[in-house]
Amino acid sequence: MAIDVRIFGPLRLDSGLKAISIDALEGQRRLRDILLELGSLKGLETLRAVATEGREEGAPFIILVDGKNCMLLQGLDTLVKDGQRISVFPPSGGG
Amino acid sequence: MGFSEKIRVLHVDLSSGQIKRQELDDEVARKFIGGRGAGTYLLGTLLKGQEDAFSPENPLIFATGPLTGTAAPTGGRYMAICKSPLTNLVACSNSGGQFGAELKRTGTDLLLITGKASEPVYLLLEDEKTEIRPASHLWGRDTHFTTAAIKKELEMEGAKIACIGPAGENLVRFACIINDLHRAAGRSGVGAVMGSKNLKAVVVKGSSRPEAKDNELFMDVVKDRVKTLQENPVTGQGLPSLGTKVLDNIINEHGAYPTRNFQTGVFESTDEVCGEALVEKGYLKKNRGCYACPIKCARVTELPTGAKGEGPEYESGWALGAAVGVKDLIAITEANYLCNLLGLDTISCGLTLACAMELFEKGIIKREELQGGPALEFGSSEALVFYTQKMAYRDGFGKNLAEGSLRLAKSYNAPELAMAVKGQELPAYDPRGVQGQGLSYATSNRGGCHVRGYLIAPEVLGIPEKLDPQATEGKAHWVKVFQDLTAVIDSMGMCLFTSFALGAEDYLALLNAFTGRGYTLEEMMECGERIWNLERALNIRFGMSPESDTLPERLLKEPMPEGPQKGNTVRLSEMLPEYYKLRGWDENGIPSGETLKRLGLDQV
Ligand code: SF4
Repeated sequence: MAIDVRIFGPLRLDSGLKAISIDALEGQRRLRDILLELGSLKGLETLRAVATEGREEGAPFIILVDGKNCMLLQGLDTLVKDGQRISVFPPSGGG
Repeated sequence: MGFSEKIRVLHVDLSSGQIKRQELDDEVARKFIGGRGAGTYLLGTLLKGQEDAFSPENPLIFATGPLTGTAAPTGGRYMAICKSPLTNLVACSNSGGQFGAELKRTGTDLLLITGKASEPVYLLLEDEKTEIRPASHLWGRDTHFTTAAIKKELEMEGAKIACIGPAGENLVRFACIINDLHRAAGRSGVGAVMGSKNLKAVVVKGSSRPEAKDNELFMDVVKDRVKTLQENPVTGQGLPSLGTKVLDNIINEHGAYPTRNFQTGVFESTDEVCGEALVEKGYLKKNRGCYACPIKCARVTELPTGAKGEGPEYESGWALGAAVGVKDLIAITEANYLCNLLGLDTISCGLTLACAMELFEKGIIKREELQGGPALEFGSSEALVFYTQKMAYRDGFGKNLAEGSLRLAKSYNAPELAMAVKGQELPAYDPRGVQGQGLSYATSNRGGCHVRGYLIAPEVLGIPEKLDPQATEGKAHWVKVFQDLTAVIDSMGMCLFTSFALGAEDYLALLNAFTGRGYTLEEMMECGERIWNLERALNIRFGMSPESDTLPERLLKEPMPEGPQKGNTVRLSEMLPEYYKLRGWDENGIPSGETLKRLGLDQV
């Protein structure tokens, strides 16, 4: 199995990527490391900044792990397990 | 036009043809700001309470705020206010486009329409000149035909038009008013009230730009706040690039995307119908903005079939998509265009159909009743387009649908299948996944509605800060603050979407710079609270029972069946008593005499 990452909003349009499968390595990985890895892909460079610029939960990006905002877990230090799903949204609003 | 402190009312009585001008006391402007607040105040002075929404006594008020028509960012909004035929409570529907700003330029803040014309008419306001003109030749026509025909007939460069379609004429209880072709004062049936007056359209053309008390100061504040909006990632990038439809995936991934009449919160075909798909499939042509709007969230679209229009926006796309289980983006967009042409509120249209589909699925509505129409099956694009058309004309089974979901479900003895609050259909967030939004729905003064207190911002989007959507603690306070601030923004004449970037102090700066009223922050927020309580008091006068501060049983009792919110219900009873207390209402939800007195509403 692996970790399933879904990319949304302008990030999806810029990168042309919808879903990316990330190797779960030893069975679980830190969310921050996953974002760093994703940030090396074309169109997803901003995710590097999200991972490194120190804002706890990646805000104003919205990052969910299995539908739960990572902020309500351990922020970017959340351990994401094999088979879980990450959803990444750039800052968004609407109504 | 110089600066005007008074609220100027143009009163047209369609029964007698009389046209009068009047002004509201300075006191009213100060206490109720303008727009939504002042218009609702005026409504309260005109209705005793028991009048039928379709009776000539029910006034229809087009209300602009002090900032409508100014350079304030998004300062082009107006409200259509009357008693609602859907909820029998205060109807107050906001719209953008250009119409509101142009109405203001005629030198009128509130256009008050009473009575009923004996024949179809339209109203022409050209600066000080007001004319009631025949419209029999437009009756039965859709909103685009009507708009084009009036433009041609008047040959008036720059005239802006608000009109109704067949749905309003046929008194569909959730008919809307369409202005500038694509913008809608959508909810609560304001278009049906316009139809009941035999009023097909209002045309405005003005030449005087409203002036601020201190123009230089005002322009400085405006420039500064426009910059804030442009630099904010949501209002500067998110909304302009994907519009509100960026939410489809956010809400779906969160497990709160109401699907097939709120039977679940995950729509399996979201990828097919989301905002991203609208771009990827090439249907999105460009974005467009309302008057003085730097955000420009509106979508200009064109389908491979050649059909063109605006939308779908998030709510409409959902109501005509996931809510009815339809995953065909072309059919959804076509149904959206159709709603705009016929003058139907997309949310109530979609959710009334969804209710009918569930009744059909459960065998309660029988095939024979459909009078030859297609089966009312979830997911059927054919049924979606067919019945949207039928309900606008009250034709065949459309007659039952035109009454809205609650009356429909009640007629089959199954009111619990109407996903409505106080008779108005709920919007696109399943509150089982967002507790505060549940409280906001239950207490909204116009029934099921997301723009009276948008708790999705803090609970899901993390604006201005992230709250745990499943927590109930503290939510009552958030709901109250959001409801009050929203009442302020609406009354000023600005778009709610600015609040993704602006805070209360920003609105205060704009309001004070323009009006010179020198409100403190507390005073401004108290205006919002006053407007909220005024609406509440009027609703009670109109016969609302506070027991209706609740949600459809499904959302309170049926645990979400799947997805990230699996097992959750709305824990309303953990929040409602605290909310009443914070509001200064008794345990039954009635504003106490003391609260009304504090807010200067003891006469209401
Ligand atoms: S943000 Fe959107 S709805 Fe609001 S004024 Fe601008 S274009 Fe109109």
